[in-house]
Amino acid sequence: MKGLGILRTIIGGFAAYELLKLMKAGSKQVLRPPGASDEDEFLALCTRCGKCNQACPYKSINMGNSTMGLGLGTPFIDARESPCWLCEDFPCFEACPTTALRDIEKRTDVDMGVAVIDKDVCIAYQGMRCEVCYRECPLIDEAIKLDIYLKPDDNIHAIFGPVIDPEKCVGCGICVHKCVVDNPVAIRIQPREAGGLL
Amino acid sequence: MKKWLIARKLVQFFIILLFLSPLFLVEVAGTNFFYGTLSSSEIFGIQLSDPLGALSVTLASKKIVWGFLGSALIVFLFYLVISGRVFCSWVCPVNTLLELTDSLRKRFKKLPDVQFNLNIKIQIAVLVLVLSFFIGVPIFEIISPIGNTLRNLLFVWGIGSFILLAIVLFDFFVSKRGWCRYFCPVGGFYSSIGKAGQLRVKIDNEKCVSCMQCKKVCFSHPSILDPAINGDKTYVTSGDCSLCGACIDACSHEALSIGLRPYRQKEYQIEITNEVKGEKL
Ligand code: SF4
Ligand code: SF4
Ligand code: SF4
Ligand code: SF4
Ligand code: SF4
Repeated sequence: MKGLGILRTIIGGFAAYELLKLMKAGSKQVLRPPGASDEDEFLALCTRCGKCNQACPYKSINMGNSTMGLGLGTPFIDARESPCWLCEDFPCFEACPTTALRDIEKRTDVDMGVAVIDKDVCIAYQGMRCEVCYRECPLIDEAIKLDIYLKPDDNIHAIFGPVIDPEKCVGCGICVHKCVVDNPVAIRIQPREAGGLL
Repeated sequence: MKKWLIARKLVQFFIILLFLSPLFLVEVAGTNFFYGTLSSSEIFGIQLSDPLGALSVTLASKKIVWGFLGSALIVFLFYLVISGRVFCSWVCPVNTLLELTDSLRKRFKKLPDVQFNLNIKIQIAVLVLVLSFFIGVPIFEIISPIGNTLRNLLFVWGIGSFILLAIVLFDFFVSKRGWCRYFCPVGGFYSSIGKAGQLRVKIDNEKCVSCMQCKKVCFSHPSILDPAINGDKTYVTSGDCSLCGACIDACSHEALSIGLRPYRQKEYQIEITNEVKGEKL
């Protein structure tokens, strides 16, 4: 490489560096498959091979497109469409060659995020018996409990309000998938804390 | 008969079939004998990964994952022994696509063919690794047309397809086989280890009449055949040769063959030049 060539490469490389850094900030925070390391580390470790996608028997894992910036080609889960069903043997995690997904032995090791209920939208809090999320949760009475109390200024009806325990909830999104309210859904997953992005 | 062409088309076809097999054999990976993409795959329980991708991930994450590196080492050693760019003409699905583009291109005589330096792709490969390290993301895995072709076939149509389109248009309107010849970092990576390969295109100078038929069809670049035709070398030394065999098929004087690299090289006067000579064939 001659002098000019080296110079050109350095300038080109620097421009690419700045551009890519911008794109990295733009990679938005999404629900990653179980066992994903924190977002920055995940983006570094995932080789975008798609094996986790192919391994999931429920087709829950999607591959990110260009709207995800540098997350293009990385796996994510759209819980409303199909959540993580918390397979006993975690085939997605088993399939990952790079340890981008790792450290899961049992369901409670999963930490994809935490469910958040919008009390203004949730019909249970309006006085209707619903409890769908509560009954569908694989960690029933641990991750999600019912808060039962008399409806204020109403002596006949009671509220059976679901309450999340953020310590126990693994963020699988099954509750989101099953929620009977639409537009907006009354429960959603706040993805696990993403390093540097929150 | 175009023996090498037929052999290669068959291999290319089976490679694509192999990658698509999880779609029509069993839908869930792990139960199929094969699954994965060219970034990383598993065949009969053996993990195989792309060496450049594995290097990028290691540099980006600054973590050594031995199993992953081992799976890339298998692939790396295979191409190191055979010849680097064998990957390009026999395995890579982007090349399969661009060969179609090239055959379409042949029907239009007046298309320009801009030439670049053959070493650019090696520089890009180095750049990809350096940038991966500093940004902390395996850059080429994201934009790679190879990855994106497989994503489109296996996962959902439309991921990164604009990159593919750009490359096809570039090859068609600007530069013949331009992406593979000059820019692809995977090609650059394999080209850089190509010289070590034990299989080479050999020339019998007694039979060669310098008709230049071979140069017209060369996948990599016509200039890489020059030292052999000129009699400076007894085989194609350039790391860019992909052992596609097209030159052998094209040579009606049967001067070319693929065989083990000769131990002793004839004395030579001219160092093989990678600079493009601007010839148009
Ligand atoms: S744990 Fe099971 S359901 Fe959940 S993403 Fe992995 S494979 Fe799919
Ligand atoms: S298996 Fe691992 S490396 Fe491959 S796409 Fe999934 S998370 Fe990324
Ligand atoms: S995400 Fe929903 S279903 Fe899953 S553990 Fe948390 S509360 Fe239960
Ligand atoms: S140069 Fe790149 S795109 Fe072309 S065949 Fe080789 S690896 Fe594939
Ligand atoms: S020298 Fe022959 S075998 Fe090598 S790439 Fe060119 S045509 Fe193919």
